Amino acid sequence: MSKAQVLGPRWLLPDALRFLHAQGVLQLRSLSDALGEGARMGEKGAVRQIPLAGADVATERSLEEISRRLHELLVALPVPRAGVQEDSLPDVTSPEFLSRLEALELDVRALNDRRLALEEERDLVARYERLLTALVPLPPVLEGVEHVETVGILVRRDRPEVLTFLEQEVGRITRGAYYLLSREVDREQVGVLLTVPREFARELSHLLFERGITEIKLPGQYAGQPLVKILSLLLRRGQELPGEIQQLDAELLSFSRQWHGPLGRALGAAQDRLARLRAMARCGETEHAFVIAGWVPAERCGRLAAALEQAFQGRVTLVEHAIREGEYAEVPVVLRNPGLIRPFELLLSLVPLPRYGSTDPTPFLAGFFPLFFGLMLGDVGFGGLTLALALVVRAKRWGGETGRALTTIALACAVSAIVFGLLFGELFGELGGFVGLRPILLHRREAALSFLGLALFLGAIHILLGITLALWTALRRAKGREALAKSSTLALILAALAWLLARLGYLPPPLEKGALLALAPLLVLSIVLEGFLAPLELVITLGNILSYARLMALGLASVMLAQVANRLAEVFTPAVLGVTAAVLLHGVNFTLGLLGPTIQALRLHYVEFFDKFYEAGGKPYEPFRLTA
Amino acid sequence: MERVLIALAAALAIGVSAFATAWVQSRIGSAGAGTIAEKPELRGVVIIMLALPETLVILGFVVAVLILFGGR
Repeated sequence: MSKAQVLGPRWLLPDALRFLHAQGVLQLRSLSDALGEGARMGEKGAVRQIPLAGADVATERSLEEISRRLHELLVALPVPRAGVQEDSLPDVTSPEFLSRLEALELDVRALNDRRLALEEERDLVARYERLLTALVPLPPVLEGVEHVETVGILVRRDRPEVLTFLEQEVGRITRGAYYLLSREVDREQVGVLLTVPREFARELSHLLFERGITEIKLPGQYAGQPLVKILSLLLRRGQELPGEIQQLDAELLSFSRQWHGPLGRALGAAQDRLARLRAMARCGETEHAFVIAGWVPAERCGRLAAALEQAFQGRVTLVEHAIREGEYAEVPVVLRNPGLIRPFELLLSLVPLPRYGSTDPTPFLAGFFPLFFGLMLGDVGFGGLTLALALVVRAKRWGGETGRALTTIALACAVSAIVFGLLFGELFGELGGFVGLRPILLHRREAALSFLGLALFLGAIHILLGITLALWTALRRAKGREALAKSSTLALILAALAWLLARLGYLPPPLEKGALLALAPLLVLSIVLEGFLAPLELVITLGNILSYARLMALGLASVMLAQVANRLAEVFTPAVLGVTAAVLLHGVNFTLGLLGPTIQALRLHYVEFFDKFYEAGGKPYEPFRLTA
Repeated sequence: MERVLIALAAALAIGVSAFATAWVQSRIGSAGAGTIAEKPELRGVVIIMLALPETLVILGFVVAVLILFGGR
């Protein structure tokens, strides 16, 4: 990353900002950060922050309001997939745009309001239909009666006291002039149809409201009609409504085909204008010149400088400054890895970005993640299934760019699992023996301790690599004491491991004494350099190495489960039942074999490996670029 | 009798450590779910927190394997 300042005559600032916006390379930096403390800001003749003029503030508010309205409009419209026939809109800052926007808002609101009303009617009809279907077998007492108000109520069956209460109270209010019909609607509800003379309707409504009983008002057009007729009308309406809603949806889609694109572009244009206005307030000016400070990826700095020179005939220039170490926390981070390794950057998205100037662990993730995954899954059959699954997802292009990156990681893991499967002689467990597969490296089920040794050996290499990376970072930053401390830690762990291996008989016995003799001065040196916590750090590091035993644990669990699945096929009769059970158990093992190793391999990186060298806290690179 | 005791010891090593891991993960899991609901950007930290106690059961498993096969 390069620290850049773009300088030029003050009158060219709007053009320069527009140009930089279109280039989309520079990440803007606030002027106070760029000039540092103690800079002569605000004094006469010094650089000062550009204040937004009254007209600019008004434009900013207007653009914010337009953006909000456009966003609401876009949310209300369905996204057209095909048949787009776009119209055009005037510039977002012109008065014509506002009048067009208002007209479009009215149209969309009218369509949505109509749709909402139809949906409400559909719900209402559905509720009445259920109620009236239950009540229609009752005597048609209301036929031909006028000047009455009918109210529908659904009462829960476990509250029968509500019905008694209703009868008492309605009888009191209407002096007995009411009809109350009730019938079970379903297992939970009882439908009640209550008819009272119209003059008591208001009082009845108040009563229901006070007692928290939800009434369903019978639509006005059905009042006074026989129940059977109401039911037939409701049924007919219920059949008509879906068609009407569909027609409205088609109208909305047709509207969207015409306007979704232009409205989206208008929103982008409004946001770009807004971004430029806000960017203006982050720039500085003197009496005659402007200054824009920011960050540019180092490899694009030269090209941007040349483009500025060319576009403004040398009147606007880009100056590059060296980044001070004190500014590292502020510098945005861009990860740069070769094509094959880049997909593994995805695995870093679960942890904060590495700080600028620290080590990017992606290449190590690309090497060790598939290695650990393969060691745990280690089966030609399961590896082949993973490979096939990844290829299918890749061919179908599921998940876009992220899906492609994930399948690249999956392919690497699958190949690793197949290779380890060949080394362990496993194909769906011990079935590999039937096709001539024999363990080359070790037999995981029978040589569990050797497998544990292999896992811990890989763990030791991984952890020592982490400490070496920390040492390399200290050397790069020319921090002698830190580098010495890391070197002594590294030597201390190597000596401890040598002593342990010699003690267990894996190394020649003379090394045991030598390692023990080396341990004492190294421990003293570590305490001098890193304080009294150094011995604790040694114990934690050895614990970290021991944590890699999970590579063996998961691998052994996987091979045991595969063996159980194969035994099932042997012991069950008839054979079809056994084979089905075996296939199902292999399926479970495969699913666990994808999840477990992924999580554990990630954990070994995040917790054990990163702990040794990783410096989190990097800020993402967010350049000042156009959205439209 | 000796084989029974060996099997029992191995079962205890894995069983007790699995129980301890499950208990700790249940506490971290519920707290983690709440954390992610409020701050989704902390999901990485939550996953790490959730994976930390697994060391217990892994070590229990290793001890069980050593009990079963270490003496041979």
